[in-house]
Amino acid sequence: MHLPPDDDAAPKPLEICDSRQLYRYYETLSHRDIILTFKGAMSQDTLVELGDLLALPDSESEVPSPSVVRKLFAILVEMAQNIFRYSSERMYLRTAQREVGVGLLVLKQTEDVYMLAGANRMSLEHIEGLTSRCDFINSLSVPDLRRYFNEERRKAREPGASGAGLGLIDIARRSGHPLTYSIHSINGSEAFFTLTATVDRSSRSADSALS
Amino acid sequence: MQTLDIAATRTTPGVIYDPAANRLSLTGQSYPENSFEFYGPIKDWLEELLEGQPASLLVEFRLDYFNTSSSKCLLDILERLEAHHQQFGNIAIRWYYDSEDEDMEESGQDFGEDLELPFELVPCES
Repeated sequence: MHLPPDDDAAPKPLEICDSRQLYRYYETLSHRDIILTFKGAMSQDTLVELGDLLALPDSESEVPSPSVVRKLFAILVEMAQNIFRYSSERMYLRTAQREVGVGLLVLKQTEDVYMLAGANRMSLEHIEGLTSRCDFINSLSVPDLRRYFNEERRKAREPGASGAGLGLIDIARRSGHPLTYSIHSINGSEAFFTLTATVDRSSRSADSALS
Repeated sequence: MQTLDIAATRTTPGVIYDPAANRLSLTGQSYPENSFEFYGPIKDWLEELLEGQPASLLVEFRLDYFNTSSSKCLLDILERLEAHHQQFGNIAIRWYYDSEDEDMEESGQDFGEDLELPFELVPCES
């Protein structure tokens, strides 16, 4: 897979002794629509803590319905475990006594939807398979997606894989929207891969609970 | 008689076998770092139980959430139970779900439709 070289200028280093600069950075991360940002080594313990944050009411916005929280939680788990397993940026965690993937998770809200993005460095050779899988999933209707999930689940897992390769299908099913992905070239062998899932703020069951 | 009593954690369900009632139950959430590591020993335990020819076996799923790799492991366990049922006809599954959780209901339907063994969906009030 070939991507055009990235011509963005390298960002200036962040002066962490400079409160003005750090405040600007803080403001970026605390933008009104951003609910949650995590960048770092995605351990299982971190995932559990992030999951807890989803259920907490945000003081400045309404509390999402339990069914929306469940969907976001499920998508967060699959995205975090994808980063944990497949990010090409690895870090050894002494607490976990193992190497885990490094990545970024961002939860954003708009008037109508929540959007959850999972992003990490990835080798170009893996990206092609991933994008064609996303495209295929996006081409399926809701009942076909359900059938496809059940078919894939019946297949034996790949030797050595710790996951079941079902994560993307599950994310698409729970989201109820097409998967969105975006690729940003980093160097000749790696790119920054971003997968974004959208969830309606009022889900089916939230509607039926109101009626 | 074999017993099994695995305490629930934040990311793994409690797994309990009550030999007096011939009942195995899985309760809680399931999204371990490695599902195959968690469910492997449970499958081995189940294998031993089935080899001992239990009179009957009721398996209750009371799960709030499970991730996709857990889902694969649950199917492995259910397929093993199905194989035993086809030979001895003495296994039943009960799938409990929060009545407002349509994803968990759908998961139960999908497992139930794919398997040839008694599979009861039981909605619960949240």
